[in-house]
Amino acid sequence: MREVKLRLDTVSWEGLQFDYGAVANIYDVTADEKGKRRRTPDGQRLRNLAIPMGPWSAEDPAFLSVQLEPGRYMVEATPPNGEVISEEIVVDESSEPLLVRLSGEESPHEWLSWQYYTGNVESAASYYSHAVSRDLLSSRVDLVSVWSQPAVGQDADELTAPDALVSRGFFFDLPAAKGFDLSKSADDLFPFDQIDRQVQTAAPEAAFSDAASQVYALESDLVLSLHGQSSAATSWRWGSGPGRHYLLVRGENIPPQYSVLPLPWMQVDGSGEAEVEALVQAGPADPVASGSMDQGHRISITVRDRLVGSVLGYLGAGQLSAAATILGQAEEAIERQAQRLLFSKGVNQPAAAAGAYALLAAQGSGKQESWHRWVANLKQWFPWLPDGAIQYAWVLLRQDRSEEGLKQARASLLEGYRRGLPYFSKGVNLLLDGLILFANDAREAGMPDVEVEAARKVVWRLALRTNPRQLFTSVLLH
Amino acid sequence: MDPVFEAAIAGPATHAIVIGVGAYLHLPGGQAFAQRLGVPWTEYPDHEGMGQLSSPPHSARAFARWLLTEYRNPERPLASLHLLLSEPEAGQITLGTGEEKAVERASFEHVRAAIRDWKRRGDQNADHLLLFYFCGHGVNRGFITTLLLDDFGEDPGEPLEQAINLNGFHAGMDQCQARRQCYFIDACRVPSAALIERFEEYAGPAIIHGSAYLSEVPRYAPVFYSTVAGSAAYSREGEASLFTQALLRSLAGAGSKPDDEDNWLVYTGGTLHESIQFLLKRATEAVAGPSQVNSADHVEGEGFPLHYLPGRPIVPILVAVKPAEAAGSAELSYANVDGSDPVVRPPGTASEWDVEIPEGRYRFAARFAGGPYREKEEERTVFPPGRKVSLEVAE
Repeated sequence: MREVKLRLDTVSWEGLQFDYGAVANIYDVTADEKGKRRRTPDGQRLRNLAIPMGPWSAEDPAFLSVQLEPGRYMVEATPPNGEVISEEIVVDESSEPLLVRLSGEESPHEWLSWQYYTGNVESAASYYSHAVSRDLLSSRVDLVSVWSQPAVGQDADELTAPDALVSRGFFFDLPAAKGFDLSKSADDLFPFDQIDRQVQTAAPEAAFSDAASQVYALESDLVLSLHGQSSAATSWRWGSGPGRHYLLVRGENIPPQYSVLPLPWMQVDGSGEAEVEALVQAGPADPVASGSMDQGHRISITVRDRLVGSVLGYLGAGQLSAAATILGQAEEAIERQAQRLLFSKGVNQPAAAAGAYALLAAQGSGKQESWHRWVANLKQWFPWLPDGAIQYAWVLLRQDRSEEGLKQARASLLEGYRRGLPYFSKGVNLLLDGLILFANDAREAGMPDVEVEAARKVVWRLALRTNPRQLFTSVLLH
Repeated sequence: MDPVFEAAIAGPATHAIVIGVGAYLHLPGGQAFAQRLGVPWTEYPDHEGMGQLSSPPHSARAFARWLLTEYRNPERPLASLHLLLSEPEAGQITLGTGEEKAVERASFEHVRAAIRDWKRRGDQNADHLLLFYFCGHGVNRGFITTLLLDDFGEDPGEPLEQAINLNGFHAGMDQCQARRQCYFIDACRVPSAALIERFEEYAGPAIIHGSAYLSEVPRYAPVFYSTVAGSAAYSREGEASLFTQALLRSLAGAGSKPDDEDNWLVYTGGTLHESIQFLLKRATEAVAGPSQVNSADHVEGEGFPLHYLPGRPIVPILVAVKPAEAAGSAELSYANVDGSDPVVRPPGTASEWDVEIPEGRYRFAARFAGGPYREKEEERTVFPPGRKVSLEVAE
């Protein structure tokens, strides 16, 4: 046996490395003298490995180690963008480890590296092959930060009355937004007119840009600078406040739109805050020639979380099984942090919600009891997080067919609806699907469910405007 | 609605429905189809440039033929095939026995009846596998996708009554007993301003309505789309679409992987999606056409084995010479590693060499009758989904 150490090299301007970066498989392709592959001995085919991904220039480039018998192997990795990256290796009897550094197609720029690997931009070869419009010259990008001050004596997490929750965002304002006035300031565009709500806006500077792309690197400092170093702001930073933040983009030929910003995003490995990266892209100069009818979506949000960044990437790309694979292998590392970081009242609830979406998809994983409890906690402990209530409704729909279970599932869906815009677009999808099922049953029974019908109507309109190709909810306002 | 193919299978089986809509009765150019049907032609006024399609009947026939002649699933053999084709001439298909069978058109009524019969068959055994394939016009916005049938636009006031709300239909099929289902949607997913206005409330009939009383047994029901939401899907005139060609090549081997017994299988949750992506990218690059990126939804876990290959997979390989200008004067070849069974492309073609080779290890070579380049030979392993073999030649 020889130790083989695997990783996927990326080219990036920074040293960020994802310990569980890409799903990889190893196949024994040792052939006979005619070139026919030999029958594979047991254990010589390794599937669904999570290998590290990052630049070779990282401080301490990580590898995944496996033991292989001498022979010829095909090593194949598929990052979230779906590119199949393969390399043939020959393993001999040497006692030295064999380093295997896979590398895929090139990203258009080092600063677009993570956006490339998550599938938000094309490879360098395609990126420069078609012309883009001049949309970005006229674009206006605002960070909009909203939260409500908890009433005196009331913990922010205990706010349950829908009107008191700031997470609603534009959610209920979509029909009115049809007559969107571009000349309005961002403050006026958010329908928060109650005195306990604070809306602040800032125009962030792009960290990198070219004619086709602008990248914004966002962290909580920017939000804190807007709201001041109040105690509420400080507690928000550590997750106890119900603040919500959006990136609002508009411009000539850019349909007004916004995306949820999951700020602050605390690294799941406990190492501090992760950067939330917003990409704003120009539309194609000729949508027909580029193969896109261009529905107008321009925003992509990614999170540079060392431990679950790839889980988020696979989720955003719709590769739920790969997301669950990575999550499964990162589980030990995540569980080490779980109580402190994911599921306590302190830190990164959106990350927990992202994990729950992956686990909902891998429902046969045998881990039901523990993660169902996570989802129940997400719903109960964090009333500002719509996704937890939606996910809990689906756990019940799939696990509990009793009248009481259905009643609770319905209530949980409506609770998710009242909480407002889901962090994740998958939440919009599941909310709509669930409401349609309940509406169908009520109609079938000849007793239309007025509450469900009203919610279904609003969420349907939201679902039409939500970008299904983005992880975080990203909505067109027309 | 009777299937075009039916076999008595005891136990778990596969039931398929294949729909190809090329002729649209109420879209521009639908006169010939109306004449064939003996009905007066009326045009749907808000067609927004949608018209007749040449590819869907070819694509649907190709997929149906694959099911009839090459589909191999020992655990769930093919037990029934519904085929509905809308084309200007009356359609038929040749079965594996050589028998010619007439094919019904894909009107809403026919499709609804076929889907209900297909579901009824699926209800007979939870271990059945149901396959759904559609090729034709599609409309999409956000999360909502609608598939247009051949009488779409019959009533200009209610054009979506002759369409399928895909989201609703997929959700409704949870009510079917068969827990393994697989959907292939080969259609544009572009927005339509006129239809989007209607989408505000309604996206067409679901045909099978969903219920909150979900089945207790989890359902595996992946959907493989030819394109991402908001984008078009392409084909060459009179040929199967790029997606269907990529799908069929994937099923022939590019999308397969060996199992623990060294059988080659195509899994729904395996590399089928990536293989289609790889082949679509190659197809669009080869013609320097617009890009087409496939997508998939509900691909959960490993999924289930869809197709068992009878032998080694056939793998698409692109043989290239570096520098590219040397390609025209190169004789390209590949052979087994012992030199047996060589396949040769003579000099005179400047493009890369697109070949399909059974999985294994081969010797690839570039040879030159005269200068300035020197011969190059390399051994490479051919393994799904495929690869580019670049032979770097020196002067």
